[in-house]
Amino acid sequence: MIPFLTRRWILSLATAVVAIWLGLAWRVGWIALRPVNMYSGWLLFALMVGLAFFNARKKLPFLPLLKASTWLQIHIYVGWLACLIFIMHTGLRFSGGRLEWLLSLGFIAVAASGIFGLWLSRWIPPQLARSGESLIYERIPVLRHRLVEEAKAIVTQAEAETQSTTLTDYYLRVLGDYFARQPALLAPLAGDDADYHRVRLELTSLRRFLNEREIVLADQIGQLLEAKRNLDSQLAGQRLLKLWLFVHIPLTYGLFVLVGAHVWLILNYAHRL
Amino acid sequence: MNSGSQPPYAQARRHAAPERWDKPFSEDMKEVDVDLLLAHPLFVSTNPDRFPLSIPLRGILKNDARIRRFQPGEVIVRRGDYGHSAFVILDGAARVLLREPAAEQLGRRQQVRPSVWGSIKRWLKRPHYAEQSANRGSATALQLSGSGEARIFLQDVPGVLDADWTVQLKSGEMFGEIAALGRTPRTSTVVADGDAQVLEIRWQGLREIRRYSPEWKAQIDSRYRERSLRRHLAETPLLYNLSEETLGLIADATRFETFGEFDWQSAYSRVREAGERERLEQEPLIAREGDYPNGLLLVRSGFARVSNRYNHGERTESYIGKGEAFGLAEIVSGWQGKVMPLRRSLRALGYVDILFIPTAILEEHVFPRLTAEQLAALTKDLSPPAAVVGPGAVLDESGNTFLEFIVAQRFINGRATMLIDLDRCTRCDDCVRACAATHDNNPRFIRQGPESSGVMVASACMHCVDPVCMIGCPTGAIHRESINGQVEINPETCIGCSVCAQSCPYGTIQMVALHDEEGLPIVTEETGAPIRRATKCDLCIDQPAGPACVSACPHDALIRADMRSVDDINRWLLR
Amino acid sequence: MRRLLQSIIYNRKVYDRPQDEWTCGRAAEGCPCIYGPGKKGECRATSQCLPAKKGDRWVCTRAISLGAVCEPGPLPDGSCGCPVPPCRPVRSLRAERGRLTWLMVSLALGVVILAVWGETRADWSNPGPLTDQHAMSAQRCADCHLEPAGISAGGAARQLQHDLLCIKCHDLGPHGSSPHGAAPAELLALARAEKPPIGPRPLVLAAVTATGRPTEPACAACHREHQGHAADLKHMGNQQCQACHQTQFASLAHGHPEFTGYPYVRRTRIEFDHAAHFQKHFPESHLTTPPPTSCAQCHEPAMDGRQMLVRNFEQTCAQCHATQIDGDSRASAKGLEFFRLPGLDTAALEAAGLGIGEWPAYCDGPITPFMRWMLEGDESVRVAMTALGSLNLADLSRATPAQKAAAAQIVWGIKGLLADLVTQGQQTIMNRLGPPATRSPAMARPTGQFSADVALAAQQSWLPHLLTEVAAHRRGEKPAPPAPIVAARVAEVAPTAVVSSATPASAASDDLLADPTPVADNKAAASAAVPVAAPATLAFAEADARVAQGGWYRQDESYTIHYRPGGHADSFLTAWLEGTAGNPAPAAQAIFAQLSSDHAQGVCMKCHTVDRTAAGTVVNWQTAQPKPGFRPFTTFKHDAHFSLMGDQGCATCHTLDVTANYAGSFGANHDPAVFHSNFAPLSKDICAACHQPAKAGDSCQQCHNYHTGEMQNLRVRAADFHVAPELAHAPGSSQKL
Repeated sequence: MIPFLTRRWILSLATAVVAIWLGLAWRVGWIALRPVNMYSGWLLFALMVGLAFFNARKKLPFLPLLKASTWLQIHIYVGWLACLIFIMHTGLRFSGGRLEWLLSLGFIAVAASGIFGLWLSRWIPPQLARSGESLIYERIPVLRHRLVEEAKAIVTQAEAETQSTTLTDYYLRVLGDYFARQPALLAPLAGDDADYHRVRLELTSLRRFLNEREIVLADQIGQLLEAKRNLDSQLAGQRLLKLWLFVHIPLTYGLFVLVGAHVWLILNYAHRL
Repeated sequence: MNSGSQPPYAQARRHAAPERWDKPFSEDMKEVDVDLLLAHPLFVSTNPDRFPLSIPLRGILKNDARIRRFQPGEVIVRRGDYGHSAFVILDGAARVLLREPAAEQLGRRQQVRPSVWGSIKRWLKRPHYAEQSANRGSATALQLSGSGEARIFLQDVPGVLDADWTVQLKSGEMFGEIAALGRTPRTSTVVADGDAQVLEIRWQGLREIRRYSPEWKAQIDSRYRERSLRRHLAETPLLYNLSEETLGLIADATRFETFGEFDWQSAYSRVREAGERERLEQEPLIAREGDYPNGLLLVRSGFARVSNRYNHGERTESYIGKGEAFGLAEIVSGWQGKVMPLRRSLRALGYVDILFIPTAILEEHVFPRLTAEQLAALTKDLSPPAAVVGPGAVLDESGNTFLEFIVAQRFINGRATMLIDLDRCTRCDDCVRACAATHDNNPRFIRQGPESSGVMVASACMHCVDPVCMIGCPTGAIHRESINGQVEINPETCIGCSVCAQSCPYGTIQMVALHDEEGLPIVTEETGAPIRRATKCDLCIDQPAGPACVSACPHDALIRADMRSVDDINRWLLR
Repeated sequence: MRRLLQSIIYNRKVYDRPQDEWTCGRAAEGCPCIYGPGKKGECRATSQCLPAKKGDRWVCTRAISLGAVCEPGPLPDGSCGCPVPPCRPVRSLRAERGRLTWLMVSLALGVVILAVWGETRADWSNPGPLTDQHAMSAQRCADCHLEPAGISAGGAARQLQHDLLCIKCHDLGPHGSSPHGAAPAELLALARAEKPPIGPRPLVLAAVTATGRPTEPACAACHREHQGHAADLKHMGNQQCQACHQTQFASLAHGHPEFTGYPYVRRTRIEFDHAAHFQKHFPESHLTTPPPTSCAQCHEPAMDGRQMLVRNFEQTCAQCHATQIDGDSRASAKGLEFFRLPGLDTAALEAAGLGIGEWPAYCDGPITPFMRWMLEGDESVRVAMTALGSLNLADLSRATPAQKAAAAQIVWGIKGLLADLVTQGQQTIMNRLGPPATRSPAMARPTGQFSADVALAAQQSWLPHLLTEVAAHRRGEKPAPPAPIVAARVAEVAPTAVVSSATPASAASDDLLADPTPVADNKAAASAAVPVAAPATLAFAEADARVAQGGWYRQDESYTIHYRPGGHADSFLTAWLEGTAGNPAPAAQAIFAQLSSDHAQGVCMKCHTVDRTAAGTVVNWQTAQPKPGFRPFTTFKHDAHFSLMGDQGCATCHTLDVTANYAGSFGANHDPAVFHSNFAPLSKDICAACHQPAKAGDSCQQCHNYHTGEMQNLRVRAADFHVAPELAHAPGSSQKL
């Protein structure tokens, strides 16, 4: 089992070597008046197809192809290469026609989302792990529902048993909408749990109005708050981890259509092939 | 971080602590039968007075035994099954099959060869609705009696029995006791030869009888010694290349003892929510730290916690399993003149079967033969053994969270425990989808479970070394594949009694309601209750690519770990 | 103690099904129905369990994982106690993503259809704005692209077809598509001539040469369109030159081959010895005229500022050499003899009984080269002349009768020529120079505005009866016995009498003779007046002085008609020199020799040189001139460098080489390629001093053209002058047009 750091070094190094080699080859071809743009174009196309196959591999997990993790590594580093070749191919000139412009834009969007996604999938999981019990995304609505129910139950119980409305008022004033609130989309990046601390603080400041029984219940509510905080961070984190793919994958397929058109035009109009 | 095994619901406590014999082995056992039994030659020589009042022989026979009648060709015990009872032939005869007949002849599913094309076809034909199942015709050789008890008949009885590779067992002979006491799989298949009346004693009763009746003890032990002890000793590294008679001497001197409850999982689920310390106290002590090592302890089956005292608590250092020895270093150094008490305590995790070889024998027959370097090798483990290290937490004075965790949760039992590195897992569910894609669109594990120090033990079958789930399966539908030892459930013979699901201490077996092609529930004709079936991870036994969950994880976050190879887990955790 | 939300107890768990597209809408409330959504996501809501009939009562069969046995329990009729109200099933996140994907794909397809087949396809599929020169074609792809080229067409054929589209407008000469527009053979020769690589060759280039040189590179290889309005279509890197050129080097300063004899490729067209002038002539001549102080006095840059031209004659040489040319400073005859009555042995002819009519007694001298050429124009005379051979007409004493006959024949030829000159004038010269077909259009100039009157006057005073004699001779009559020579004598003694006596008759006989009488008068009077002590009338200037600016005159004492050249670039001389320089005929050569001799009138050939090459013979009247249609391989912009010149001015680069045998390149030598320049060849270092990457730059294209040879930059489409129809059909349009 190769340690991650070693693997990263090896692969980055290999990628760098290949990149340099490609750069030289491209330069040499350019000097030799070869149709380097055509070469780089085809290469880029091939790489993009290869990258897209990662998705296919995920859909057919039973085939004894490479492990998905190997695929991901290939995907990442070949992705970097593709970016490099894209720069060679376009020369970062976006003065081009509308189709080319769209094409470049699409590629950049896909690449950027990919890089962002890579960063997310390395940055968020430790946060989630630290945050507490890891919840399954699809279950979160049920759990939230259950939390609210339990909170209500405790509060009503408190009022019934102790004839004091401290907790009830607290619930009406604060808890109700705290439990109802959804976390912000980018909350994981902002590390935003200010709400939780505010609510928690109020709860503790309430203790001086509570009797023993109520304090027991308040502690249970405290546990629920803690659970809600975790639930929020889990929701926000996992949502982000899923949402970036909403840019990456649909754009990829759209991009392929445009690429097809681009290739068709080139094959029809290029002065030399 | 706390072990994190706190069930949220009060009604989770389903196993109220049972009184002994409040649930007899069989309701059909009447006093008359007991009288008949006591009159039977088997028990004539047994003296009931030796038994304590709380546990009279009658009671044992009444509650821990039953009389079963087998028809010709009916399978009494199947090789590979995990039995929890021994058999004594009262009347008629049985035949031991020395050679194993074809799997389907014993009512087992034929092993499928993994093939890519097969997987593809299966994937293409995957049903749309959950847990879809064709009408389950009764499996080959499987009959359900009224009481829901399964009866398996050997196919082509004459063809098998007339063959010369069977041994006949006459009336009064006992079999299956080794599997019962030693928790080992049945070593061979026994079939009723003609009509046979057999006394079946479950392991609790057998243990009592052996304990209080010297005749039985002598008989059982001698049978054990001659049948499997020598082989077992010969396999022990320490006793390699000893002459037959020395081995014989050692075998005769060896005592064997069992610790813990046979069905420890129920006891375990009782103490599950208890605190660490309380749980530790409840573990039967095998050897105490500080005592004089008067014998070598060989674990024959089960697991034992190796711990030493640290201020006011016990610090787990490691755990030992089948075939491993305890206290050897101390004994050797004592033999070399430096007397040393045991440095650690040994506690039974669940049911442990121990072989006890007295120090004197070893000093007389074994150590003299060993070379200097061999001895050095033996004593070098006086330094503390390698222990599992959790991410971030190295083994410091206060012990190690992850080690404590897996020991406390008994995950050490696993041979293919699904560990998920939460620091890398992006919760993408690729593993679950892969599982579904390889199992007819039904996931066979749940990506959730106890967590400790950033590692989650998901609810996937661990294919335990000691598969308690197999105990008590009425049809043997849940069985261990002989190839890699995967534990598998045969959907054709599973009757959905959920015994295995309740036995599994890790809750990795799920009862699912079956649906038809329209996704509508299948119900029984008579009651209309939905038909359920036990499902669990089969480690993709029929997939050429191996476990799909592992190969599908894009982030190297998931492995199926063999908990006995501590170093591998270490390496994985510290990547 | 942490509060866990998810149970790990076996019967509290259900498998999650992330792979399903639809989930029950009630799942969020924790009470999904056991049926779940259908394939299309339709709700199949029923109950949370199917109650089972145990004996005679119904029991709830809800799984513990779904909340175990429900509170109300089944209804008496066996239906579930807590039915699930219908829900709207929820799509899974992945399913939503899938739909988004399809949306994107269809959007992209829409764009593609727009781009490839839409109305505005040109806007969409155009990969980028064209340069301003080509901007007009932005909407007409077919101008530059085979449309549709078809995907099949590839490789060299496709490239060639597209290049033709470029060449349709851009003429690159015969070998437009081959490197440098040079013929393949030429290229081969160059490649052979190339020296092996010198100096360390950059890695990239090594790789290139390893991959071989691209032959016939496509236009598009260098000229990349669709790169924006301001894109430089002609840009090309240095290394790209070296991609082909096997001799690779780092820069002009390092590795560029040394110049050989640059910039001199031929001798000067005008023989002007800078060394001699600056060292000898100018110092000596400073008394008369100020010598030039700067090169600019004689040289000026051409319009494009590249070539340096020589100013015209008047601005340069004329100051000193004008008088030499118009002959004022000549001691000898200022005019050159065009026609003469040669000396003739009349006695011998008479003795032989050959009639030649009248002939002045005292004329002598040979036939002029001009006459000879014109006489040879007459077949019979040419034969006679060959028959006569080397004999001199003036002494026929030892001539055979046949030769004498030939001589007579020649004499009649001369008289005929004179008669024709008198009667037809310039036309005669034209006819005699050769049949009209062979005549070049410039051949009108050799007549040099020949004056028929001069000829008439000469004839009247020399051979008064010429016209009648020649007419009779041409009729074939025997000539009348020679008129008494007395006539001439009389004329000398008292011309007036003769003339006066002759005038009425002649006037009566032939009106042609009427006009010249005054001239004859003056002449006669002049000749008569010479001996007179006290001039009675105005005096005559010298005959040749009277035509100082060029023209015709006669001299009776030598019986000759002269032409005096009129200053620089006299059309008569230039025409005769050009006409005869390349003509091998002895007569022509004689003329050329006479005109090109150092003492010839006008001394043209002193400065103007003749190039005799395989291509032909050229007389260089002009100095080197710019050639608009020609792109050289190396170009230099003089005026760009003026501001950089040091104190020596032009001499910074062009240093006089006094040792060079400049004059040696001329004279007998007529091959322009064989020469010694007045100036030392430039060395590379002069350029390299400034042309370095950091300073003036040293890119190949600064000095070298890729496309070389004869070409027009833009080929004009052939199109007729278009007449608007209404004009064409309007009445009287013919006058308009």
